[in-house]
Amino acid sequence: MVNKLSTKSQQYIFDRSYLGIYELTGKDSLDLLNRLSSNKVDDLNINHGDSTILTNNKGRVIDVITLFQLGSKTLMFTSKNNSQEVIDWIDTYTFIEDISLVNINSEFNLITLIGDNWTEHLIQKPTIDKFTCESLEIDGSSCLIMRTDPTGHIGYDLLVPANKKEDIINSLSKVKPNIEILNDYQYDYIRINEGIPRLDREINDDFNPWEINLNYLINMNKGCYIGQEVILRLNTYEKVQKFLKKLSIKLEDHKHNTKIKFADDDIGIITSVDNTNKIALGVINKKYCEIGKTYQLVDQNSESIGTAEILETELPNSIA
Amino acid sequence: MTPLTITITENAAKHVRDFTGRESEENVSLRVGVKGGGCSGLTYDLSIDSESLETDKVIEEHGITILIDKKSYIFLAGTILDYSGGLNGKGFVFSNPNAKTTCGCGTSFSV
Repeated sequence: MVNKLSTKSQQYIFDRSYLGIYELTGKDSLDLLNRLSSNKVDDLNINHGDSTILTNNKGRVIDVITLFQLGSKTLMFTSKNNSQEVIDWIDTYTFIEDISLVNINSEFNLITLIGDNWTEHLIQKPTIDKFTCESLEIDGSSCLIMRTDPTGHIGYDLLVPANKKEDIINSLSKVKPNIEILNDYQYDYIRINEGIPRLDREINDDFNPWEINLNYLINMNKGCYIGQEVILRLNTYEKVQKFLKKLSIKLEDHKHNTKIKFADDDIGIITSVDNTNKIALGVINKKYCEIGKTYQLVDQNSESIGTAEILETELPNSIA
Repeated sequence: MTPLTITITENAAKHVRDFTGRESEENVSLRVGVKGGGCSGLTYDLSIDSESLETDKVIEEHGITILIDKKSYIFLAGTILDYSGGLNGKGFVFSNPNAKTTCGCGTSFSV
């Protein structure tokens, strides 16, 4: 079990090939995505990227996508099991734009590298700036390293040929001793402990971007995009009523959507629980977000099943 | 029932012609379309375009050839394109019976 993420002394490898990987071509690609999402992405320089939120006209999140502009094409990454929804959404709003989206998951896989020293091993540089990328060769295979900091710490996504993935993971795991290859549970444990929202848990139709710590992906100065009016009004008139918080919990048997209660009031909901049942993420009414406060956890029948204490943690600007 | 055509008023046609600087006997092609974006999801798009596509819907009225791509036509059938010169602002105005909601500034709509 990964107890505490130490990116100075420890390096981790995680296979994130489950993300949707798309190659976008056509002169209108970034302009269209800029019109459909909350961050400014129409002016990305070559070998630069960014994440952005696709929102509907009610300001709810379709997905958080990450883009890297490579010159003649752009790479787009979607959340796990959400590719079709994203593609259908983009297709709905494509009229005469020059854009082509091709799924390249069968040709390329994505390996996530967490830790400070990966670029020293791979491209002989201390690091690269966040949301920049560089081409490199690993064991004779052409790859692309992109810094995305997916766990809030320094981290990279490595785009590798699908048929070389296992060989490359094997090779990377031998770069130095004690490199740990994470499984799904360990990666999700890290995500929850770092306080990072994920599709289907925090990122869903129940919450707007402000409520789940995605405000760093909302550009306040760009032009119109779908949902902008609702999203900006929520902020301007201080209508955001709840916030994502990291919680220390005492919970015997976790069930999804456990309610957080104070006296007779439902004040929030648990969205993610780590597999030790000790740390959770929850979305809590802003009146009850005071650090150190402890609240009851109840099941669907309002039976008490544990407690949750709000932890003093600033959540990182990352997307897992 | 929504009429399956797009209409341009005489006033709007005059302003299209003024905009292009063409004389009244010359034909002007105006592409009318919809783009994704704007707060409500869809925005109107107008441009001068002399080349029609095979799949375009083509409508001629008041000396203006209106070109509409097939997908945009679904959202625009029944629309009247007018020109407003009133105190609230000058410009082309779309009266679109398919638009259920519009954003605050009126530039985008949803169906």
